[in-house]
Amino acid sequence: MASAMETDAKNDYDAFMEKVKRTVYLDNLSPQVTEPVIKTAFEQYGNVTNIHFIPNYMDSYYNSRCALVELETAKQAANIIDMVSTYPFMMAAMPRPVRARPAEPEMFDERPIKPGRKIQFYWLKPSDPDFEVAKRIKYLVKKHSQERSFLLKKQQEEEEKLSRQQYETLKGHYHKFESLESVQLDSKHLAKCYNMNLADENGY
Amino acid sequence: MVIELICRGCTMSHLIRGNQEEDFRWGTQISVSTSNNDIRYYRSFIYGSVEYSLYDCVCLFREGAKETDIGQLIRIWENKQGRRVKILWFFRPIDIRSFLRDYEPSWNELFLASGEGKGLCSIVPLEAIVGKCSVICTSKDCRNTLPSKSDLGKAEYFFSHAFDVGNLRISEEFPDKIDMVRVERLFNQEKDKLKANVECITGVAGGARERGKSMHSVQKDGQVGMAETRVTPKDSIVKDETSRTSEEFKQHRSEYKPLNNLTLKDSVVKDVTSRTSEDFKQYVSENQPLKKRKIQIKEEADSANLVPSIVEDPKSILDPLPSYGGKSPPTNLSNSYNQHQSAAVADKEASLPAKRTTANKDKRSWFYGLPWEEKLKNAEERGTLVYLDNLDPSFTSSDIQNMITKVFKVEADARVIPGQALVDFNSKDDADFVVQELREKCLMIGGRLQLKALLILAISPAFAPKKRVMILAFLDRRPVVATRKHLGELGKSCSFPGCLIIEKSKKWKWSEDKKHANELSRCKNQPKRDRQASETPADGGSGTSLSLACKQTVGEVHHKPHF
Repeated sequence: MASAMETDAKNDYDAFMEKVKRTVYLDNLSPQVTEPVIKTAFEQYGNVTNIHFIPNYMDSYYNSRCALVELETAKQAANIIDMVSTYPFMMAAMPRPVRARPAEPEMFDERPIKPGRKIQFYWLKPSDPDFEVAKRIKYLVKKHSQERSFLLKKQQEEEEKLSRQQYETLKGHYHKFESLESVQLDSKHLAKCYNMNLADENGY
Repeated sequence: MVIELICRGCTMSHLIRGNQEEDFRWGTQISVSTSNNDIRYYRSFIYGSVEYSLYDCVCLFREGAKETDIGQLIRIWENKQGRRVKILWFFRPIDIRSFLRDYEPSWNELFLASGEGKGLCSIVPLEAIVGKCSVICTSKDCRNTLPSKSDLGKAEYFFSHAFDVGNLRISEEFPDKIDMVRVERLFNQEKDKLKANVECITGVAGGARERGKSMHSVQKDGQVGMAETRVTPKDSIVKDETSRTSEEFKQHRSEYKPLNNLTLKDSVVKDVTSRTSEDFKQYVSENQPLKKRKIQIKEEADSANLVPSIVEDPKSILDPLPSYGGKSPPTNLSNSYNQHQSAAVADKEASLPAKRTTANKDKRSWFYGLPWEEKLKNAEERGTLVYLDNLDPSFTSSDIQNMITKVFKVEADARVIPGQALVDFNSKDDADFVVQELREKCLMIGGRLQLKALLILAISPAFAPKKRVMILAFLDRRPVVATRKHLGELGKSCSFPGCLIIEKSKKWKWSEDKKHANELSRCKNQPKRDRQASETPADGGSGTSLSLACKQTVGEVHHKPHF
C-alpha cells in the first residue's frame, strides 16, 4: 500500500518534471498581455497547452508580469526560447522585448512533493550559540527584501521614464512625417500654380 | 388464454376514445368475474406505448396536486364504467411527516401503505396513470431480494418501511398481506435481478444519466401542461434506449412470461420499446391534450359514481400538520419535475460537504483559479494572512502546510511563491500566535540531506494593514504608461534589425540588464555580509558549519527567479 503510494508520488513528480521541460518562463511582459495574446504569439512556433501568469503579490508597484507557458513538446519550448533570445520579441507592447528562459520547478506554485524527501525542523533556543547567527540572518533577509523592493521601485520609475521619453520621440517623429507630408502637398499645389510638371522630374 | 383486443370503450365518452384507440391495448386477461360477466381482469396493458403489468409502480395524476402520487398496480380490470386499476399507495415523507417521529427519511424515500383504513389503496380510472416509476425495496426482510448497487442508482425512489394507515406508524416490519396481496409480490423480485443483468448487457445508462436526460426533455417541453411534463421524463428514458428493437424486446418479454405475474415493478427495462426520437416527438405531440383528457375522465367517473379518489386525494387525512422533524425532503413541492430534481440534487450535495471540499482541492491545479485569489482577499480582510520569507525555494505548498501543522499544530492553507509563502490561517488568533512565535524564536528548517545542510527559516511576518494595501493594489493594477498603450496596438511580432523600433527595444534591454546587474552585485556582496553576521558569535564548530550553510541558503534565495 505504502509502496503503491510512493510510486504514485514518483509518477506524479516525473510527470511534473516533464511538464517543466515543456514550459517556457516569460519575463518582462507588459501588463496588457493576456492569455489569448500569448497564445496567438506563440502559436506560430508550437502548440500552447497552458498559460499561467505568476501573480506578483508582494511588489505590486512593479507592473511587469511574468508567465509560464506550457507547450506541447520540449522541442517547441526550446525553439521559442531560442527565437525570443535571438530577436527582440514584442508582445502587445512595442518597444518592450519579452524575455524567455526555460522554466524551473521552483517557479510552479502548485507542484508535487519531490518523492523521498523529508523536511526536518526545530526551534533554536535562545541559549543556543547559533541563535544569534539565526537572528542576524533574519535581519539580513529582511534587509534584502527591502533592498529588493527599493530596486524594483527604481526600476519601475526608470521604465516609466524611458517609456515617456520614447513616447515623446514618437510624437516628434510623427510631427516630422506630418510636416513632410504637408510640404509635399504644398509643393504639388505650388507646382500647379506655376504650371510645372513635378512628376516628370521627380518621378511622382 | 391470451386475448389481445382493442378496447372498445363502450362506456367511454366518444371524445376520449378517438385519441385512445391508437395507444391503448390490453395485455393478458386473467379471468372474468364469476358473478358479473362484464368485469374482465387483466395482467397487463399497453398505454401510451408503455407496457404496464401488475405490481408495477406508477405515477398518477391528481387534480390540483403539485407532485404525482406513486402507487403499485394491484389489480387491473375493465367493466361497464371503463377501465379501472386498483392502486396500493406509496407515501412521500412529506405526506406523513407528522408520523415519522425521529426517523429521518431520505429525499427519495417512500413508505408503502399497509394495515387497514383510509388511504391504503384506491380504485382509479386507468387513464390517470401518467407514467412508470422505478421504486425499489431496500428492506432487509428475508422475503425481499436485495437490490444491487446499480439498481439502486437507477431507481428513482426506494422504500424500506411500511406505513400503517390504521395506527399511523411506520415500521420496518412488513405484514404478510397488504390488502389481500402477498407482500412478496410488492418487494423486489428475482426477475428484476435478471432484468438488471440484461440492462447491463444492453448498455442501458445509469439512473443518474437517465434522470439528467429526462430533466433535459422537461426543459424542452416546458410549456406543455403539467400532467404532460410528468409523462415526458419517464418516456425520455425510452428514447435513450434505442439499443434494442421492439421485436427483440417482445422476445425478451415472452421469455419471462411465466414469471410475469410476479413482477413487482418492471421499471426501466420495460420502457425499452426502442423508439426513434421522431416517434418520441410524435408521441409527445399526441399526448398534448393529456390533461384535458384526464379532466374528462374525472367528470365521467363522477357521473358514474365510482370512487373518484384521484380527485379526492386519498392522503389528505394525513396531510395538513405542518411540523416536520426530519431532514427536509424536497419541500417546495415544485410544479415542474425539473425543479424537483434540482432540489433533490441540492439536498444530496448538502449531505456530502466533506466530499465536495476535497474534490475542490483536487481541482486546483498549478493554474491559479479565482478561488485562491478570492480567498487571499478575504484572508487579508480578516487578518489571517501571514507572509513567510526565506524558505527553501524547493518547498512546495503542501510542504509548508505540513510544516505548519506539525510545528504550530494549527491548520492552514499555504501557497508558495518561490522562496516565500503566503499562509492563510483559520483564525486571526492562529495567525497572531504564529507571527509572535516566529518573531521571538528562530525556526530552523533542515531538509534536503542531513541536519548538516541546515537552512534557516527567518520569517518576516505579514503586517496585515500593509498587506491589505498590497493585495488590493495587485488586483487593481496601475494604469499603463501611454507609450506602451500606443505602440501596443501595432501588435506583437519579432522586430528585425532595420526597424525603427529596434533602437528603443535595445534601450529596454539595457534597462533590464541594468536591473539584472544590480541583482547580481547584490548577490556578490552577500557572503561578505554573511561573514559579518556570523563572525561575531562564531565560537563553536557548530556555529561555523551553520553559518556556512546560511551563506549557501541566502545566496540561493537571492539567485532565485526575480518576480
